[in-house]
Amino acid sequence: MLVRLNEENIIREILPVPAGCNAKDCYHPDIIAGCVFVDDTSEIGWVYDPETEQTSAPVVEEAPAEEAPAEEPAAE
Amino acid sequence: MAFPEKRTSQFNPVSGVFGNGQIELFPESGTFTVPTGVSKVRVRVWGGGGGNLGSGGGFAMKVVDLGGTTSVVVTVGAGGLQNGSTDGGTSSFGSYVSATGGKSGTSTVGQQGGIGTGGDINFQGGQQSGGLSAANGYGGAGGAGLLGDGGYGGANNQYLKSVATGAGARTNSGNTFDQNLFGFAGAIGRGGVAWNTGTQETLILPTHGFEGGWCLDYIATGGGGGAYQNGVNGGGGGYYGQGGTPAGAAGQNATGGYGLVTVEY
Repeated sequence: MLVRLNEENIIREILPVPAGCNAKDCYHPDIIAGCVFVDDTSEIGWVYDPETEQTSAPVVEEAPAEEAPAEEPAAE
Repeated sequence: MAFPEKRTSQFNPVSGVFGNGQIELFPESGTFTVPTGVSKVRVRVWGGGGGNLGSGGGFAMKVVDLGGTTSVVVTVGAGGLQNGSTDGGTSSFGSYVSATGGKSGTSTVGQQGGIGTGGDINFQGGQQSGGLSAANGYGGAGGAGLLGDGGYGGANNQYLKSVATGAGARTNSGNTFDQNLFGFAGAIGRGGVAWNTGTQETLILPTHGFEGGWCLDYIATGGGGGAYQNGVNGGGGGYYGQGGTPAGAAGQNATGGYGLVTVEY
């Protein structure tokens, strides 16, 4: 699958290629030169690692859980 | 309507009529089947407009020597979405010529417009002006066309780049309708004007630029929308307004215009 990345190597666009066609038949060479081929399961917003040439879903940081209120000391 | 839509050119004041004056319009992706006896075509491609306060789509035009090719894959980029804030898609005529879509808006100013690639003529969509903000709503940039680059998107109290083609829309300021309600004019089309006394009623809608007659050269010459108005014919959408097809970018909280490919022979 042919995708365009932004400066942070995040997938910004998936360039469709019709069945039976080659991406090189569908887009100007300069366009392809600015894109990378990735696994078909990748989605917009995923992160591309240039070293491994693999993509991964972005890590969603969970909001810190609110601390539970301290229990009232048992009445004596 | 069946696609590609076929027309016959009457006139093109800038580029002239090409070949036998036959036109195929591709508002959606498809295949161009080369007619018997045709060896050269003139192609124009527009990328999709960016979503959610995006930049405009690029444009390219090229005379292509098909050299015995019988069919060419045509790809038309979609407009960027507000939901998820996505970029406009790339449009292409095979590997001959392409135009990238505009980018979606960000909180900082300056997302560049899409660009034409491989054309004899290449132009760039308008740049995003004004950052995404909960306090101020801004307009989208215009798409590029044969008459030049797209207009920069509208932002508060700025005198923006002079518009050659597809005007970027201006904005409202927050939710008060007291200023900056005027969409910019395109090369031919007039910008829209929103009501300015505290309601969202329309005062004047933007115009397409086809008032002198429809022709390919006038595609992407439309005006930008005022606040809450859609851009037309390449114009950027106003705040909450969709970008005009082709290549117009969305205003804040809206969707960009689709790309387009045309083929003349």
